[in-house]
Amino acid sequence: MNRYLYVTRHFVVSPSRSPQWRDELPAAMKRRDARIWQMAYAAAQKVTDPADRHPVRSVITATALGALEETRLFLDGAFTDGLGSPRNFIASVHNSMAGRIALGLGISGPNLTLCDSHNSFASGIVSADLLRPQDFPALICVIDERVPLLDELQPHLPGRCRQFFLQSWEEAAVAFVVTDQPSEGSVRIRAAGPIPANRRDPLEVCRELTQRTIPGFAGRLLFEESSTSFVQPALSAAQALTQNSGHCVIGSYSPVTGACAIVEILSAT
Amino acid sequence: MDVFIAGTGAVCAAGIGSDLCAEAVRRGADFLKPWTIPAIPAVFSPLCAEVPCETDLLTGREGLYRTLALALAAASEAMLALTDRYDLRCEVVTATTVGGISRTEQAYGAYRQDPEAITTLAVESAVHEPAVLSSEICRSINGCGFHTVSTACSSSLHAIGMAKRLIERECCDACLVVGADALCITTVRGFGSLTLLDPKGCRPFDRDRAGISLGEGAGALLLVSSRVLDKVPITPLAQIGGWGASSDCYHMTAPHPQGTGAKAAMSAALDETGIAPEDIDCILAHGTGTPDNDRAEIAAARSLFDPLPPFCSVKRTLGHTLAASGILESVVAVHMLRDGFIPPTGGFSNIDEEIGVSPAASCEKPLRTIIKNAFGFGGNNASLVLCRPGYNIS
Repeated sequence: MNRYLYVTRHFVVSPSRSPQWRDELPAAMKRRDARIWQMAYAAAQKVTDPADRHPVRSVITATALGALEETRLFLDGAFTDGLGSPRNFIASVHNSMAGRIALGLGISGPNLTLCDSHNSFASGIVSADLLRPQDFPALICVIDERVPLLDELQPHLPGRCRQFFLQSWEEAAVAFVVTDQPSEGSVRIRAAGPIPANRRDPLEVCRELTQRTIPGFAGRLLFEESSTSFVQPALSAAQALTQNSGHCVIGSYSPVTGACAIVEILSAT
Repeated sequence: MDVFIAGTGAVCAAGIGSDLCAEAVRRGADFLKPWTIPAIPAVFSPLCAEVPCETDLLTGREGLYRTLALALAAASEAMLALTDRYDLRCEVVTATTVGGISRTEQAYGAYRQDPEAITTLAVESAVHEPAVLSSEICRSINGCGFHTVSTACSSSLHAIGMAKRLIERECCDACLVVGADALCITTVRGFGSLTLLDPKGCRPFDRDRAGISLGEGAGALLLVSSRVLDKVPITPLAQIGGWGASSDCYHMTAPHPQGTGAKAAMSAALDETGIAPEDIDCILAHGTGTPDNDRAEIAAARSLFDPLPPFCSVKRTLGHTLAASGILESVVAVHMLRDGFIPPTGGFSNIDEEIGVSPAASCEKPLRTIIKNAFGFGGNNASLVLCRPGYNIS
């Protein structure tokens, strides 16, 4: 298992829970930027402050599908007249959210995007652990959005995909600031995986991975709820942080990759 | 802990195989030809470096989407270095921008014409996610885990850097890094919509350069720790020195004119390697052929290196293979270190006075160190230092 990082701040942008989520965005961004960029930026700006004594130095975004709606819009243009819109093309690139956050918030360090389906959050934490000491604090932003095409596709997905990608899934951008040094009140976090489940029961695989990496673990393993969508593991983590849930592990499983991952959260108390 | 390259794999417009790829680059071969897309209105047919259909790439891989077929071919070659697994814990780090989108494009096109095709689209979309590529590669080598990086054109250099650090942290003993991207409607028409495709084919650093030429392919590197080399009979091909990453914070698609972010990435890669700028023998540039990128890259290099070491770009031969470019060109760099040569910069004829220097002429030259650059959308910069095995890093 990797070393612990320390969560100093987190914030959730959930359009279904907070319809006013765009209020604090710059006006130009609200007019021009892709919706998923806005979600990512809204979450990122809530946890970063350039005037901070230790400003954020690197950005890691974690997403399964990125700006899928922009890809669809681009393809509509391409199929119609042979050329799609350059705006849609630029926004469709998976790392465009990370680039937009860095540009808007002036974060000039490493800029990574991890795309590991339902396990993207875990992959993002593992990647943050690989940064150099001078690259901390790091911002990890987990993001996926609901788009009409996905909603349309959902009932037609193969059974196992439907099971781990519910019709009612919650879109969100969840931002975490992590450091490599503890500070007062910071919560420890680390991750393992994704690892192939090799067609075994995902919950069992998450249990085994937990016992292997955290011998004697006696806390709660959250799996059922956290596996219902791409961003749910990060939402579960945010909830655990808010509720100061003690020691818990969040398991995740991707039906399209057949892989599992876990994220461990250990409260300061 | 030092990290070495134990095996390489490549699939490019020259065909399948690292040797074939390096040989084509060394002689400055030009594979560009018009790429047409039957499914959509024929606005233009840009010159692209396509992997030839006559290769046996798909033999035994029928039914796979193209990016995966390319990736598995490169991965298989790199894994030849490890004839026995010796119980090594091998992870996979994959880099791609398009993943299985070619399937989505096809199915979405059909769905647009017939909404009844939604079931097919739902099934085909199962391979849309980039992570599917990683999981398939991981399965093919019986790997113990994987990560998927997607940072546009810099993806695979970041993937190599992450793999290096995974090994250094002892998260695994070996790591297979694969970068792959196939030509598809989205990227070809996307770069076309940005008017970034040179109708005459890319001409990196040339006065009259007018854009990129897209390519497709896959590169693979098998990385192992020095500890593995002590107990497994592997001859290292090169050593990974250091990885540098940075963000321009300037513009979503244009590079910083002075290349400040690029300089920071190169500087960080040198720092991690533990060498000074004057220790670099050659810059294997990102060198895409767009006016802004080439100018910014050399501005960055000149602000860091004094004197500027020889530099070159191999994009005319390989095309810009997007997420595959960093690793595919790193495979070329391994051959440059091993065989001692600097390849020609295909497409270059006339010096650009604004850049003020020309890429190196093709020559034989012993090389100890190479810095490889890759820069992507969003001002995303990556640099990697590769060294000849045995090069004495201080």
